[in-house]
Amino acid sequence: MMRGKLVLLRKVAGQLEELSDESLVAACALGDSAAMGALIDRFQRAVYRFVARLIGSADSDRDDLVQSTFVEVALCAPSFRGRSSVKVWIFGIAANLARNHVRSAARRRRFEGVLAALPETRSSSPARVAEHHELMARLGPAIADLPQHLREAFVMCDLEDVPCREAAKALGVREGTIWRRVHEARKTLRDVIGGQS
Amino acid sequence: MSCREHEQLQALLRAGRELPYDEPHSEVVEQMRTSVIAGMPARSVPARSRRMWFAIGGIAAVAAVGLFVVAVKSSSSSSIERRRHATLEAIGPASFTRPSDGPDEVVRLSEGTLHVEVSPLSVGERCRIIAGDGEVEVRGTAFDVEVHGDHLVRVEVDHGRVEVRARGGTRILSSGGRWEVLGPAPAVLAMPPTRSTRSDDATVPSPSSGPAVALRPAHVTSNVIARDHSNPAPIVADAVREAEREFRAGWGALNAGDPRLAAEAFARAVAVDPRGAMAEDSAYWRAVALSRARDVAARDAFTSFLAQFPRATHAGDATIALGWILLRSGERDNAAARFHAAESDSSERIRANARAGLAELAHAGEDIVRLR
Repeated sequence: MMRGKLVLLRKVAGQLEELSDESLVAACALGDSAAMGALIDRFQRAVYRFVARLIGSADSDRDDLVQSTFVEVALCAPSFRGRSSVKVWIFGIAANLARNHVRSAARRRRFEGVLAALPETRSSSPARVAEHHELMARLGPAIADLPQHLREAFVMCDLEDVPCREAAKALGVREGTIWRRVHEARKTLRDVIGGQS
Repeated sequence: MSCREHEQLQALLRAGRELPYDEPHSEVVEQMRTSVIAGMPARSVPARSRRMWFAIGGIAAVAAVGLFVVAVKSSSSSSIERRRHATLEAIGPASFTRPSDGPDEVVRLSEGTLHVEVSPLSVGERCRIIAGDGEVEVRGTAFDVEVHGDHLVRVEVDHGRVEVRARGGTRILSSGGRWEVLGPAPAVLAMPPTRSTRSDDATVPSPSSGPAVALRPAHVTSNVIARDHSNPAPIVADAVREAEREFRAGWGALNAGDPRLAAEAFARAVAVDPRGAMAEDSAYWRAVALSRARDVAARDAFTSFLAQFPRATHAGDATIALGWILLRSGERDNAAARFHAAESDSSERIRANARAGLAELAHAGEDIVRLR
């Protein structure tokens, strides 16, 4: 009978939570799965929300897309150059993965259906509540109907508050292009919503 | 922009930020997290990079000595803490790797039994033993964990507490507690499917999250010496090895984008050991491979898989996939039957997909009525 005990090969002091986002990505690049876990814990909510806004909240593929995003993060970590924040870099990966996803008209229909069910708002006056509710009911399908490149720019810059300069880097386009897309998306949404009222 | 337009835009943005989205269930997040971590690519620092680090290290060492001479008091370290809490002893042949150390320590067990002793964990630290279809989360304890065909089949706690997450459920075991799969173990060698970015492949599971951890016998792991008990586990039969080899060949082909080759390999895996642990998975992934190859045989492959393994772990995915195939081929009633069957699946993902299929059927029905 052989008996054996695990020999601890390394012991380093410090706390993972103290590390910056960039340090976590650097650790992921070296295959550190604990750092990957910390990165997921830090960003999973934002990525779920971002992907839901891009492809539809109840889309059953949302979870797969989020998982794929983090798998790509693990794979692409060595190529992270810090040109944008880690969050925006992850958003860029998610946007690239989502790009092919939302083309199906059937998915868009489901997206609209989901967005039709809206929660209570925070406005106080009943008239404002109704107005706000109505606006949201129109806005969901209107965003879903935006062309993908406009939706990416609008969701990233206007809904997720990512600076256009960073969004441009994450999506691999010029800053002016992003500004133009955001402007076009806003105009389209205003026209659609204004036209319905 | 006029004042009214500005107000309109602000209202629009406010409404946009308040658009609802479903928060994912914590189990879904946990499953995703586990899959990503277990499937992380193993990386080593390239030689050139190592040389660079040695150079930097040398310079840093000289600087550190200088600083030590100047500063009498030592400062605390701020590097990452990577403690290993788990002491592992393989009971008989076991295949496992340690993809991550603390504070989120992970042991990936593919086959065999491990006796695990875990020193008490601090706040924020975790230690998990992961199999293909479940995991055991440790709370500071000693226990045995057994995995067959990448399936968690038994957990027995000596002392302390562990949390077993498998088969869609969670159980806390305390001292003397035991969790065991009754009957034959199912044979899934895959982590949950990850990506399906092509719209027409949405229902076909992807292999990209498959067994990323290579099998490695315990006696060659660097940090564990196998414990040879008086009743060692049986030696794996040739047929099982052959089936596993073919399965991995199929998996490799599927990941490499050659579904036809993959389907052939999976078919051979079933043929060499039709009653073995790999048969169920091989049959399922063969059907998936055929589906990806746009082969009409996919329909029969899924049908026969479901007939042969009605309680398989992948039964829900297979039912959905078959439903979509039937829908595309115009067999609306059969497709509806499959989607209805999947509506009661335990997985929300499957149920949502079933609802989507039924909605698609309803839309198609409206289109037909309109054409008439």
